[in-house]
Amino acid sequence: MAENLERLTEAGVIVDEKKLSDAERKVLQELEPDEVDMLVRMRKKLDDAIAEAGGGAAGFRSPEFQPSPNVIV
Amino acid sequence: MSELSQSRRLRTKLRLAEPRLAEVARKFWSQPRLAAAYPDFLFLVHSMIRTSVPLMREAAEVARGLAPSDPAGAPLAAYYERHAREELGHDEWVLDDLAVLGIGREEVLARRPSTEVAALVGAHYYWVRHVHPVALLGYLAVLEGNPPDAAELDEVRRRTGLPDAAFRTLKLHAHLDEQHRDDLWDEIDRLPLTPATAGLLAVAAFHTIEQVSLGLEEILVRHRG
Repeated sequence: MAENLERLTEAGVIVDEKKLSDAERKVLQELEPDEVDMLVRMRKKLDDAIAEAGGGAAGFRSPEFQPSPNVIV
Repeated sequence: MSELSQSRRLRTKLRLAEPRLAEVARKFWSQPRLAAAYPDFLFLVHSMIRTSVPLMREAAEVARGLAPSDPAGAPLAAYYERHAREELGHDEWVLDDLAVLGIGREEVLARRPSTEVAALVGAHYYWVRHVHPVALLGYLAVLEGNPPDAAELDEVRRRTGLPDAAFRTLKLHAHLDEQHRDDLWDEIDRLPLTPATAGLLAVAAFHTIEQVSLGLEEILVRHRG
């Protein structure tokens, strides 16, 4: 749905829609409502965490040192 | 316009969700009390890794049961059975790492795992049993899709001053998960996914990102000065 891109952009999940390829845009347009909802919720938690750390609303910044975040199986 | 492969489609979605976990991980690995928090991190890892083989075997059994009517059933069963064999004993590795830090296996096994892990693993038992076993691939996509970097682990070891042997499991997975990741993407690309199963795969992956983030945040709060 075209409104997926609007919702994701408004929530800050998509920072710059122009950088999406046509194929990527199609994937995101076809997201189901619960997928969009989850992405929006996670973005809000990220924004809250950044604000708490005093980083403002500029979005995720690459830190100087960032190990791969994965916990392993 | 060329279509993306199924694994590329999933990775497109994951790229939007991963900043949530990346920020928590950044905070975790750069915290001043990392040496004190690292055993709790290994406990979190153990809480999850102890379920890997049982969960994959469960998923394989459910997938086998679907096989007569669902073309994804047989390949999923084969993948989960193979990967369960590959993961055998990895929970013992983490116990060994914790023992290096003076935390014995009885203490680890007696400690109650977090509700974040219960909600993560429990959700996947739910999806596997009651929705579709493809969900577990979403879990694996997050946990194996971005392997630890060996050089970064060395930096963590240096900063914490903890013994090298306490990082054995992570270092082994830095190597093993590169192949596991590639195998996973290949498996996802071969599967006859429907829009419903592709969506479930993504939801499971997003849930994994959120629950792992919550697990790390819980450790951060516990060690906050």
